[in-house]
Amino acid sequence: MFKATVRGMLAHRVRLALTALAIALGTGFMAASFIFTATLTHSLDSLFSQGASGTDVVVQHFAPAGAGLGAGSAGSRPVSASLIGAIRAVPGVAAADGVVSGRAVLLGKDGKPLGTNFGVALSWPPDAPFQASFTRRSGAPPAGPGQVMIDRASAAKGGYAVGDQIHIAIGGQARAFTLTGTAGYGSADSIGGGSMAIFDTATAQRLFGLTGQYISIEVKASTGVTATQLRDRVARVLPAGVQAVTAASAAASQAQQLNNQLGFLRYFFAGFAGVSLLVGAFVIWNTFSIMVGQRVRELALLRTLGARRGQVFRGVLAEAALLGVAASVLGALLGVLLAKALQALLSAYGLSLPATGLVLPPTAIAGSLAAGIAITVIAAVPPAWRATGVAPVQALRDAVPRAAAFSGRRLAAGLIVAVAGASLVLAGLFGGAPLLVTAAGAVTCFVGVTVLGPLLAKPLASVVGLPLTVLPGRTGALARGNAMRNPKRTSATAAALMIGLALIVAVAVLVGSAKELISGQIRADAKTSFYVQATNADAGITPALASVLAAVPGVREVTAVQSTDATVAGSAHQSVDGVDPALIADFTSLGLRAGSIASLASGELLVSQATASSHHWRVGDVVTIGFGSYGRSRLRIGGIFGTVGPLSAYLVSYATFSTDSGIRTDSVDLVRAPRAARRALLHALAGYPGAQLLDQAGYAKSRAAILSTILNLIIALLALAVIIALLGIVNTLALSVVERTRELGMLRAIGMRRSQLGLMIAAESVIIAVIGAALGTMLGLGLGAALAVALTRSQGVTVAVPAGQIGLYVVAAALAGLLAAIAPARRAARMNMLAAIAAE
Amino acid sequence: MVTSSATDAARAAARVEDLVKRYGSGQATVTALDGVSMQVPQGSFSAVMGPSGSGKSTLMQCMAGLDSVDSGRAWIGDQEITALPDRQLTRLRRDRIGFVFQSFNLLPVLSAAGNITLPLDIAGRDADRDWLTTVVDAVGLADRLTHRPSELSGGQQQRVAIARALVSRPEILFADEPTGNLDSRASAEVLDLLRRCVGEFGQTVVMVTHDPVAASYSQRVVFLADGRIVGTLDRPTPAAVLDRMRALGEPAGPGEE
Repeated sequence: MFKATVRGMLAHRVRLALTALAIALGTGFMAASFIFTATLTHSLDSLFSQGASGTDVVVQHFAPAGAGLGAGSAGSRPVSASLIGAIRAVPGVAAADGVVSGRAVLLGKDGKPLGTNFGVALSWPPDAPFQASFTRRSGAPPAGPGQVMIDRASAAKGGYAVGDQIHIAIGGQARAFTLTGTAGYGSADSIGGGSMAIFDTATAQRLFGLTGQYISIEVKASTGVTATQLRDRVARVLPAGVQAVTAASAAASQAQQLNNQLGFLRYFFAGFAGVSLLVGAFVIWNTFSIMVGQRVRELALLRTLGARRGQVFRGVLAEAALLGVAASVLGALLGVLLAKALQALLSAYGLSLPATGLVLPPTAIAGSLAAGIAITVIAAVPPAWRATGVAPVQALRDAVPRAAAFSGRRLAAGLIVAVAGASLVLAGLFGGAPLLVTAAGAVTCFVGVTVLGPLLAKPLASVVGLPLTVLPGRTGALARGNAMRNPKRTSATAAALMIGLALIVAVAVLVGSAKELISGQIRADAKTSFYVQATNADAGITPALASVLAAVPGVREVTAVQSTDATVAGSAHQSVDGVDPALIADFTSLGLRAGSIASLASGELLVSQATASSHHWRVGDVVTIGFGSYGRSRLRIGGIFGTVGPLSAYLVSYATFSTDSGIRTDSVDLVRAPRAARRALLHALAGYPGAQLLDQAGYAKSRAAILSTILNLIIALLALAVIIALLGIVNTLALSVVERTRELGMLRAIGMRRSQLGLMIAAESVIIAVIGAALGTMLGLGLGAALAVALTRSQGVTVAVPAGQIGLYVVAAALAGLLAAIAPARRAARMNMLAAIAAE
Repeated sequence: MVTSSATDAARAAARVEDLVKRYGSGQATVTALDGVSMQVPQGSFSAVMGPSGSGKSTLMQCMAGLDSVDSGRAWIGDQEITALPDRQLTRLRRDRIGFVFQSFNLLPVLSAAGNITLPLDIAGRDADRDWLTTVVDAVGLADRLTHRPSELSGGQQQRVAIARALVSRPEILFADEPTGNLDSRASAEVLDLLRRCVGEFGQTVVMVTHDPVAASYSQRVVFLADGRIVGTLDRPTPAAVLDRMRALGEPAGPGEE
């Protein structure tokens, strides 16, 4: 039995290869995501440990639990420079230097920012041990005001040589420096893809308003003193709130923190790999169904010769298992290549990490293999079960599969499953059930529609195929008939595409709605006409800019808004804004629901209606906000506002913000001025190349830019699922061509041209693809609308359907269907006519 | 309707000269046709007979432009087809030749009517209503036109196939074992229909068969053995055909191929 299975498989290499590829892609994607994230973690670990190589102990402000560590710009609270004397006096300290850091954007020779990545500014440590973090590549370190050393990657990008003058935007404002040298960070040419500007300590202190202060102090132990010993000794001379940690544990905790964020990335990728595998499962299921259908005679013969049902079942499953193993191994290899490609892509984008080889996590790869094999075998169970139903007498009958009759049971079952899926989705979104329930619901919905598929396929094929009947030579009509003749096959083939498209459309609707919400909120705030913000994300603009703008002729009023990433009531990465309580109402209507804006002035917090209702907060409640090492502030809610406008969901006063967060730059200046003031504003900003002037539409676009990036990323990831679905179409068509050998031969004999034959197969492919796209679009619209309502319901339900975009996806699906038909059509055209007629 | 003047009858609907067709290469070479020459007069009903492997199907396929030849020439009417490129050959088959196959080869997705007009549809031509009615009446399927092939009996399916072959008024109709899949009653109906096509419409028919009864419906039988023509028989009867076949050393009978 097993030998027969292997022989049978080898006899159909092309079909085997296509089916295997469908699974291999999913497995490969899964393996690649694990390999890539493991490699990234490893790279970052080594980056941090390289950076800390010259230091034994770091002295910095203590970040209390729940305050959140500064992944955003939320502050590292500076320590007093006077501490350094006490630390240097501790026995066992060989050297101690203060570190100053901030944000600085390197400008190109054209005066524009060199890149859009982040840019850090650092101080050059006077003592040799700490200089080991930087690898000097050329020139000399900065010594004195007006001197700077930059990373080698940026110097190459900007075409700067030692001795050149370079402009650097700090807080948006351009300042001129002389380039004294270039440096790397560890073995890398840059610091994780960002740029690096290194000043001497005094210059850095002056530039970032930290005179007499350091962000941290690095300490080096004398020979014979361990890092832990040194840490304990240094700790004794520190004031309360300032702590000493070993450099190794600081690096480890930084790495750990990034790792947690990468963990999300891992699940993100794994989710898409799961989608790809699911689509692959549909392809396997369909391919095996067709194969069982075509092999009815062979199976019946086996049964006639005495094979038991169990043997037939195991025979089909054995075939699936073999295929699964081969495909998954191929997939794992593919995954390694894919991960390498991703790494190359990242470094092409300037995110160069220390050169490390790929890290191959064995358990993750084994898991991908197991997933691939399991999915293949499980998908083959229904066809294998059907194979056991083949009666021996069918060896003597016609093997042409017959179209399924209308089945009330199928209708009922399909509806029940689809409704159950929809309920799960809604329960997940609105009933407070975990998000995984929503995902399970979506999958259940897909299954339900797939069960209904054979009932839908015939009418859908009839409608979709109708415009194609105008094709010459009856090719379109024949294609339509072919798509309708086996609704099970058509629907199963379309179902794979449906899943990919449903997810793409759902994400498009969700992102479109979120964008609409953002721009709606900014439009609702018609009082602000211009926005000035940093060109490079979170580089900030200098507080001095607000008064510069206010002095521009025609400008009525300017107010600065500060912003940071903070931990609010235990949830990390919340955006908190600092605003001027006296002025903010002039710029945005806020739509106050309870409390007063004036409460800001007395150090209270304003929260948006949406966050208040999701946390069940009322005016008077006290909320904890953690600002990095600035610690936690307990703020009373002084008001609840309805219109978020250009602001965040949490507002505090500018004064509270500055003292609590330590942020020394503004995030955006709101400007009230007539349109005509634009030219004058631009003129005033000439000295601030790190700042940009935006109107309402531009500001809305910049706030939504991250959403567009996410949408594109998700669509790129889902494209893989679509490609797998297309492989399924190719497979189905190829199997159908084989099955219809005689018909195709007859058509050629009675005068159908090869091109007409190709057109007929292409038309059938397009019909299948459009059915999948149509079903997917309908499901996606439903899912997307549900997601959008869930996301926006607290801020005014917004559901935006990007119709043009979705239309484009459907057209793309139809074109992809055309693409899928190429190989089967060629095969059909090349088919030997005589063999075709003779085939029995 | 029939205007078979002497000159018309003398002109060939199809003609082959010294046809040679080999399959395989080296030691495994099989010569299917070994210098065959023959003419099919217009308006005639010819049968090609021979034992299994005699090359009779190959001969028909080469005559009809379905297969290429290794040497020799073939014509349909005045058109030489031996060197014709695929595109023109396809058009020739579409416009000037009709085919009837042993296994009917109807499209299951089309109704009987759709199958009948398929060659016209492929060519993008409208059906000549009168001719279509004539053909449908001739094959006796006027009340079955909306049925799918799966709803028709074997004999009915083959009659649909004959109507399909007639609908484009081909110069010549090739039938390859048209009764091979039919019982004797249905066979008789189909053969009678083919004979009527010749008699009533002046249709030229070439039929490949191994059944002496089927061959007896034709006007002239050409016997083939080992790729060569070994004789002809005008106005055949089943008994006479059977005698010749016995002489060729192969007992002819149904179910052999």
